[in-house]
Amino acid sequence: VQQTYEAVLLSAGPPSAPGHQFEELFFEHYPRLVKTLLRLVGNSGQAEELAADAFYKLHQHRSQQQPDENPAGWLYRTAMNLGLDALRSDSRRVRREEQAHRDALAHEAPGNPLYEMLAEEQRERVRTVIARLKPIHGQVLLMGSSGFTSKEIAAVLGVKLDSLYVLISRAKAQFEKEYTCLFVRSDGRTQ
Amino acid sequence: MMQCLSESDVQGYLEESGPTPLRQTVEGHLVSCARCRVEFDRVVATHQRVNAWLSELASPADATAVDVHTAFARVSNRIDAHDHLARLLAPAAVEIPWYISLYRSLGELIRPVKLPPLDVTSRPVAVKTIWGLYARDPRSRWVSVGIHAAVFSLLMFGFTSPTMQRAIRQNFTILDPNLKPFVPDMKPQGGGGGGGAREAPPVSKGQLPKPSMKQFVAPQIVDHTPKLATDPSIIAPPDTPLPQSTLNNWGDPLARLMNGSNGIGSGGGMGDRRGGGVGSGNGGGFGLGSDGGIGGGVFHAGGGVSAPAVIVKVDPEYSEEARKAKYSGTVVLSVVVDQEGRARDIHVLKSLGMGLDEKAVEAVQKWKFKPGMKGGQAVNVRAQIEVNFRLL
Repeated sequence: VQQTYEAVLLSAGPPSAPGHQFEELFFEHYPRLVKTLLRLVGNSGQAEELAADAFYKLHQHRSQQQPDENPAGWLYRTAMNLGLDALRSDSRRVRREEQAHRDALAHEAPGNPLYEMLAEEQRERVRTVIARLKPIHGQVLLMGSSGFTSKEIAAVLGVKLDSLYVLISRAKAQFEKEYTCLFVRSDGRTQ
Repeated sequence: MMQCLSESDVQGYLEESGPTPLRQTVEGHLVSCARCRVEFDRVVATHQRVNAWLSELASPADATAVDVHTAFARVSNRIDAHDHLARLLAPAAVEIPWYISLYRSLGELIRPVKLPPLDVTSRPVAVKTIWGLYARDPRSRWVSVGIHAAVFSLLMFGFTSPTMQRAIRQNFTILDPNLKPFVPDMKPQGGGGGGGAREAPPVSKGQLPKPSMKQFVAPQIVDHTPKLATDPSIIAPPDTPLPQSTLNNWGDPLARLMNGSNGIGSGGGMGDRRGGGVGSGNGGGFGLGSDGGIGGGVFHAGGGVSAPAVIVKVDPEYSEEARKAKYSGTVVLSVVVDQEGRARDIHVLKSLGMGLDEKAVEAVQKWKFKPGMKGGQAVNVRAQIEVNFRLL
């Protein structure tokens, strides 16, 4: 059915401001989402940017389609995908690594600067492995290491606890396999 | 015997903390099942290693506070901007193809849609009349004149400084420039020319060819390309200043029409008479007169024209009145020595009176001259003759 331009404008109505529910969701999950993404991408500014993108996409998703029954799950899944995309982007990653090295050398850490640099290298290794996993595996591992309880993760993912445990078990096994393949030498020592 | 532990049971045992039913069940089973203990040890080792690696992700940046309110305001602004843009940009479904729009328009033209009667809820409000005939109002005319005069006066006297006005006054001399150095000296040097091709229209306007003492080709407008092209010329001294024209064709620069005609005359030139020149004279020059040169009249000595010389001289007689008065002096005459050596067109330039002028003219009329020559031919040359009257 063809619509006239006026009809479309009238049906559009006034601009929809973020609803109350969206605001509640934002204030409840934004800080934890930023922390989780920070572990994934290693840059607080980028983590906040990705989190804001995820909320913006959530709003667009809910305004265009039927409201999701599990908006938090959709939000974390989207944020994780955005983070993994950013992590897999070579240009950003190289830039971040260079920035991490510069930061490690420039900022006089209270401990040993060399230790900080090695720690950052280790973080990069872990992120590299996460980027190679399935997104759902990476998400559960990352949320678990960020302080989410199993029940919270299950609620976010919309799965039962038993299923979550299986998911975590397989994610960790896959993580170990990938990590060993990439960074552990045949004599059992880390490269 | 109890069923062996599942992957979920083992991982749940590791993830949960405290005395949960699952943990108690797992612990009870591990006591009695060696195979599950092996599997359990393997899973625990993996669990510990992976947790250790994942714990490396913790960094000092984790303690950084997150400004939730600012972030929410930023996202809200972004959402508002998107909504505003979505309202401005109509979806693609709104755009109707032109043929459908044309079909509908034609349909509405043939069968106009009957609209329900318009329910007018507004009422007319009386307002002051704002339209009228202002053209016949004499005040507007005087107001317009006044405004224009004020603006003009302001521009002339208000916005110009005395220095500027003095400068403008000084620059008025540019309205009457001295163009004399640039105007060609058109003083007639005698002679002239003309010609034509017996064509009906008068001679065409155009530019003059170069002046030359020897003419090989007369100027003419021709409709064919000559096999041996030679620049035409008119007979005149090479340094003769000529009237200029920017036209491309040969012709008379003083003519009025540009019609491509060579004129009604004959002899190969362009003009009304006869000869190879241009103009209304006879000969190879330009303008009135004859036998070359420009400007009309006769030749003057110089510029390739030799002066005439006296061959036979008759002394003038004294008049009675002058003889009695013992009057003497010199009469200066201007004469034209024609091609046959006779003096004609005699004028008195300096008079003595007492009948001596007439006597001088009578004597000169009897003189015989060798005519002035130009290019080996005798031409009419104007000359001055002094006739002396002396009493012995």
